[in-house]
Amino acid sequence: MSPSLLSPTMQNPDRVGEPPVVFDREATRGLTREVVETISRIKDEPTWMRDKRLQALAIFQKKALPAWGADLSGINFDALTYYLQPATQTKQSWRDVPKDIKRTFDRLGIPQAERIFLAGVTAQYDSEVVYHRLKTQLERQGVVFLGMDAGLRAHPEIVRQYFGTMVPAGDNKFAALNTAVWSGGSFVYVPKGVTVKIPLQAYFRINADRFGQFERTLIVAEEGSSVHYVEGCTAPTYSAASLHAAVVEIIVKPHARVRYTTIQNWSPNVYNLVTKRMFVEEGGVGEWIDGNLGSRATMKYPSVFLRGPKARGEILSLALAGPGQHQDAGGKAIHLASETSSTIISKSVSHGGGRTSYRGLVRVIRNARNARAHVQCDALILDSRSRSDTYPTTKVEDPSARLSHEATVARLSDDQLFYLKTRGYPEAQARSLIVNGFMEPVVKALPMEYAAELNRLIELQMEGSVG
Amino acid sequence: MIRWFNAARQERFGFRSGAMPKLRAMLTIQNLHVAAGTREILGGVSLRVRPRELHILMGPNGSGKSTLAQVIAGNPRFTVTQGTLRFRRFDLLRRSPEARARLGVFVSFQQPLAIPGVGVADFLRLAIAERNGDRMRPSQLRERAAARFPDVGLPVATLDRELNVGFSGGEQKRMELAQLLLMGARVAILDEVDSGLDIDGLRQVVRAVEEIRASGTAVLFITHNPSVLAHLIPTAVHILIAGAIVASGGRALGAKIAQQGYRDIA
Repeated sequence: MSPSLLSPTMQNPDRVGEPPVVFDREATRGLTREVVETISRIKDEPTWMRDKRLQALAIFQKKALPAWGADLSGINFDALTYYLQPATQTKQSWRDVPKDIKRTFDRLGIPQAERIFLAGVTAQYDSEVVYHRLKTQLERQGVVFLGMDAGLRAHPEIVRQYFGTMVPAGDNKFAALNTAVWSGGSFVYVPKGVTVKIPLQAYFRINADRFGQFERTLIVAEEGSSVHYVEGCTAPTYSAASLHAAVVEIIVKPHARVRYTTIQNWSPNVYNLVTKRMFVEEGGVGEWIDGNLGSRATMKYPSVFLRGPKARGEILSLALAGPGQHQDAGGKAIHLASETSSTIISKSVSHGGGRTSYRGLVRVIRNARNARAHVQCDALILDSRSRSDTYPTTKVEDPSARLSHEATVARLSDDQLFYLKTRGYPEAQARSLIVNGFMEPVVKALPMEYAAELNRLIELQMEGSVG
Repeated sequence: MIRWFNAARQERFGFRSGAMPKLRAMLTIQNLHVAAGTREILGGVSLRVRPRELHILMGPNGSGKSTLAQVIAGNPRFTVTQGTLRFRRFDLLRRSPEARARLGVFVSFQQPLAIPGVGVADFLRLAIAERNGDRMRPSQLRERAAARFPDVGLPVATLDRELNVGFSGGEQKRMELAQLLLMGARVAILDEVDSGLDIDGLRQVVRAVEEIRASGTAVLFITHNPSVLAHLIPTAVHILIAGAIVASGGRALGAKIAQQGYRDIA
């Protein structure tokens, strides 16, 4: 079994009673200067990182919530806990991982998935990396794949060079929050000319009540290198609203290639507010594949900044919104150099009163000659209670740019359903076949085990939506 | 020609070829009245089709032929206001479209729906599993489909296309026939599967109809093209005009229509 995309209650009600995790350090609720200093002290960070955190905290406190996008009024920043460290420290070998955590991993299928083809698993068990292993092959190639905290300890000079350069703390309120209290995430460094053949997989999971999660991921792909990073998430069901505000920064050096795949299925009380940005230099290729299935509200617009000539960016965004959910997702392509090209493809499905929004930006600056951009956003609405909106923005300052935009909104057609039924498909299967078909262009870009999980998830959701 | 599915179906339904001369009706339609909204489309249609029989239903455009097919399939756009519709002893009107399909009722569509992103191979495999409980590996399905597609004039590569997306009229008909051959049926309602096909296509339709009849399927063949009678040997020909069957007869009735059209038939 692959890392599961299904929330435990959907898969098996028994999972609600998962063994509890013991936490030995928990910052007090609410966000103050003391909390930030404590986090930095516990992690034994260099002064420059502590200063960055404190500067970011000041920005966070000044900045207002975004006035657009999803409704975030349900977030109570004072009720959240900003740091939590499981009693278990990072373990290097599987043998050292304690039994109760192994049991949880078993239920999530991690060891099996690893046996199949995972290179290394960085599983985020609450805010610290509990289990982490690197395959010898990666080490031989000089590839670094660590938890972000370990990355900062092992390679402070690389982290210092890039941290916050792609997503500065001042970018938005949640980027500031993340910079102030970040914990965990992944650090990936791929040396010049190295191709990482197997996808690097990190598996994130949160399970503490009212616990905000603030991973910070940094990927540096040196000239001519190539890597595919995959993260999938599932969260157990819990009662209070929870905040997930991650930041992902990626630098794609000349002629390098990075693909970052995310499938997230947060439980329906999570606010998922993520800033993801990629700088792509000359002749490089940056790709985001971003699937958003769960959460109460998601705001996520992976961006490619095409900074060198002939840089290419591709964003595939997939959103599924059910009852009480709002997926506000899309992508941004910023053309800063000549001959750059970008593609944004968005596929969204809303059902049971759910809402999806496509929000996108294509910008071509003056003197970025012959840029090409294509945006396609398709929405499928399964019933009359559900909703879909499109907010595309284009800012083109150079007349040589070629832009195309296609948008479609389709309602699930009764005729399609009836046709499939006459061939023997029951209602739920007919719906999931249509939805899976609609999402096919994105799903086929996913690693196989994720594609299979996604299809299963859609089937389960469709069964729930019938009637 | 006995194929795998015929053998499978005979086992499942207990039907054997070459059985008794007088067979119970597979499809029984009695005094069927059908409306779309407030407009009556069928005003008391009765028909009885037994195993291996081929009934041809002809009539001008708008006479209600396709409505009859869609009502048999269970299309919720139409309301049955009076009459009965049975498959053997089962009351079809009380069954969902998918339940009818699983009983062995196959109704082809004049305009089959396109399902973007869904490959023909996956569609067929899942449909056969839902319909017949026959779970195949993708490779098995491909093998079986590859063996039958040439019989309806479809290239095997069609398996990798999206279902009915960008299909020509002829390809749509061939796809419907391919489904019939692969899924099998005890009652097949073929709604103008011959229209828009060239002479080779027509021959393939005729062969498919002969094959399923030989396996025991009861066939209702709907057409507005009398020339199909040059190739098919029907049990009966019925003329539907303005929602009512105005004449029934043998092949000669079809020949008469071919000569003088539908006027003066009633």
